[in-house]
Amino acid sequence: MPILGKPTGYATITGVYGETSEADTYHCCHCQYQVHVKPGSGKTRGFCFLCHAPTCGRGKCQECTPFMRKIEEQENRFRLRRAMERGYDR
Amino acid sequence: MPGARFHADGFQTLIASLTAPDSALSVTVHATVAHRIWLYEITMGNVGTPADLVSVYYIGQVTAPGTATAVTPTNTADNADQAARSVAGSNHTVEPTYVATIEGTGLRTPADGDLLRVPLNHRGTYRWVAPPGGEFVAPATTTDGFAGAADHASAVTDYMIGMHWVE
Repeated sequence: MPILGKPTGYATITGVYGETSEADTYHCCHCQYQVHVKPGSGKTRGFCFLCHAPTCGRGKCQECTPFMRKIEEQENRFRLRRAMERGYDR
Repeated sequence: MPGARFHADGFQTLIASLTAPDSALSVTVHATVAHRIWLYEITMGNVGTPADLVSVYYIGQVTAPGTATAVTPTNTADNADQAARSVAGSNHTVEPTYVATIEGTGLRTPADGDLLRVPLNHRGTYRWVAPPGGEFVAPATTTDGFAGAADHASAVTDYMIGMHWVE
């Protein structure tokens, strides 16, 4: 079932006696943590109005930094480090 | 997103410890050629005479693959295509460097770098599939990637983690 129009992941758990249980999943828009959707579980999750997507609800994800921005920052740091290792001449 | 799809499985033996889990599988970016990895399917379960016990299975971000038995990823889309650039390793003897601290802490403390944590009966199996656009993404930074581990306080049976990814 889509969450806010976005497709969700899908988890299948095959139990001890071969029974299966299924769950939709979504990932936190700030840290990619995968959350199983359990209606009525009572767990408190978060929602980012800038990303317009749910978060995992952990404190560090309350501030909006989309995970793709974190990945791009990590890649930029890596490229900068590589450039510095090569030196200024090249 | 490039379209080459790959699969690798990893195996490991539980070591009867909740604080020093051994990883079964790591999939990391090539050590010299940086590329992103999109992880879209994960399967896991206990395979060694499983009893009625529960382990926590964990998938996390890593920055180095540790030391493991090399696994050649299978190209699941086109066998005539190029080989995987990602490096897959099974049965780790030196743990990958997880972003979250699990060595000495265990798998049961939520931390930055966690991607998936599932308590699962040893006689059960788990499969997760991401929709297009919902994959876990690893940055194009050499040796960054994903790894998976499981723990149990007393069991010493084998478990397996499989990953499918696009690169």
